[in-house]
Formats: sequence, structure tokens, C-alpha cells
Amino acid sequence: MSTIEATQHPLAADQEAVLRSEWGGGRSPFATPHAKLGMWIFLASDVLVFATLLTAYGVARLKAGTWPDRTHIFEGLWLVTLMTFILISSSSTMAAAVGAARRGDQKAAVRFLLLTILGGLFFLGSQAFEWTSLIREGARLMSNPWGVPQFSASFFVITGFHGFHVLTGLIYLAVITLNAMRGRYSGLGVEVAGLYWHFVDLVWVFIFTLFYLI
Amino acid sequence: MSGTAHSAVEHGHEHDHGNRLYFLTWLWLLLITVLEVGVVLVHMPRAILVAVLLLMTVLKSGLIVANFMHLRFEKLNMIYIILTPMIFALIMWYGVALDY
Repeated sequence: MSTIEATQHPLAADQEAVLRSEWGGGRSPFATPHAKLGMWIFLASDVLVFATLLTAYGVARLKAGTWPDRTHIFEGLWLVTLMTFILISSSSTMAAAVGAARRGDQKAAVRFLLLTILGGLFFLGSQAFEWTSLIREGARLMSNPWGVPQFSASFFVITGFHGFHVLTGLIYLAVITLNAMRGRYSGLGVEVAGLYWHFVDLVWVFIFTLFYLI
Repeated sequence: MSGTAHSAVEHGHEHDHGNRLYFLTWLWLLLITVLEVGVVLVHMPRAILVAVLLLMTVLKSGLIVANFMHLRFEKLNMIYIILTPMIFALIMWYGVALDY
């Protein structure tokens, strides 16, 4: 396959898919490429998974009656606030990457994607650091020194599940970035990856408030 | 070649304020986060604190979904896809709340 074919292929295929979709009922109700619609539907289901986990956390916390004071668990809010800043910023650079990819500015798209990955790596590293310090202090999945086992159970499960999403997102972004570096990408491909990354940021907004602030 | 990066169903107006919109959203998200940490450090009645924090969290999530995820530029049908699970979540929260 020649270079020109390789660069033109992804989007041409996307456009074909939209224009010749299986929809036979006149105007498409979504008027959106199937890849984007698919990602939105996946995220809609993921919303329910996280809503359920966070509800379970709320129930556990209310039922427990007492809950460890966050100042006893986390050494101040500086680390988690920094993590939140970084993740929000990586969401912004992702949005900028989508904008650049749409304009066809390959260099800018790659630069913003790399910044996004850097932010994700920093976030994941901080989370590993935080988990390590909690485990060093004696926190386990089913027990902890603060006397409320439900705390570490919900903390490790929910931040762990979110961290798993971040890790998945980093792999996803790495693939997209490598493709972009080779010029084999489409604005749509970057946009769909962006939806996933923004969702990870969105979930963290809730975890940040519910675990660290309230 | 650069034309390959254009999505088939693009909305023209997204080009105009793209990066500016992302930048402003980023600033707002950071500002609200600072305010969130601020209200935690200031002593106030717990019920008010929780209400204020939840309000700011919902505001932040709205900014992310509307601007970063571009939901406000999508067809109404796409918005319904996102609102539907929220209705199920509300039913779940109502069911849970009945136990308290």
C-alpha cells in the first residue's frame, strides 16, 4: 500500500461507513459515525457500573455509622489535588489533540497526545504511590488500622477500577499516538479515543469529591 | 492529505472556537477544583459542605461532558443515550434512599 493510500484509507473508510450505513429508514437518527456512537453507548453502560460502585460506597459509608477522618488517612490534600489538576489538564490536551487531528495538523496532534499520555502516566504513578503508602500503613482490602474495613474495601475497589480504566486508556492512547506518528490516523479515531479519556477524567471528578473531600 | 483528518459529519462551528473553548473549560475546571478544596478547608456545617461539594462536582462533570466530549454539539438523540442511564441511576438512588 502506498503512503497516500495508507493516509487516506482510514477516513475514506469511515465516510463510506457513514454514508452507506445499514440504516434504511431515511435520515440517520444520530447522524454520527458508528465508531463514535459505539463509544458513547459503551460509556453509557460504564456510567452505570461506576454509579453502582459509588452507590455501594455511599451505602457502606452510611451503614458504617463512623468513618475514618480523611486527615488521618491521607497526608493532606496536596497530592490528590495535584493528581486531579494533572488529569483535568490531560483531558484538555486530549481535547486539543482532537482539534488538531480534525484540522489535519499531524504534528500538533502527536504533541498533544504525548502530553496527554504524560499526564496519565503521572496520575497512575501517584496512585501507585498512594496505594503503597496506605498498604505500608497496614490497609488491606478487608481490614485497616482505622477500624472501618468498609473504607479500604471501597477505596481499593473503586480507585483500583478507575486506575484500570486509566491504564487501559494509556494503552489505547499509545496505539492512537503511534498511528498518528505514522500518519495513519483519522480525526474520528482520535475523537473516539478522546471520548474515552474524558470519561476517565469525568469519573475521577466524582471519586475526588466522594473519597477525598466529603 | 490533511483533508483525511476531517470527520464526515462535522459541525462547522466547532472549528471556530475549538481551542478557545477547551482552554476556557480547562480554566473553569481548575478554578472549581481550587474552590472545592477551599470550602473543605474552611469550617462550615457538614450538610452545607456536602451540598456545595456535590453541586460543584456536578458542574464540573457537566463542563467535561458538554465541552470536552462535545455532547452539546451532538444530535438530541445522542444526548438521550447519555441521559437514559442517568435515569436508571436516579431510580437506583431512590431505591437506596428508601432504606434510610
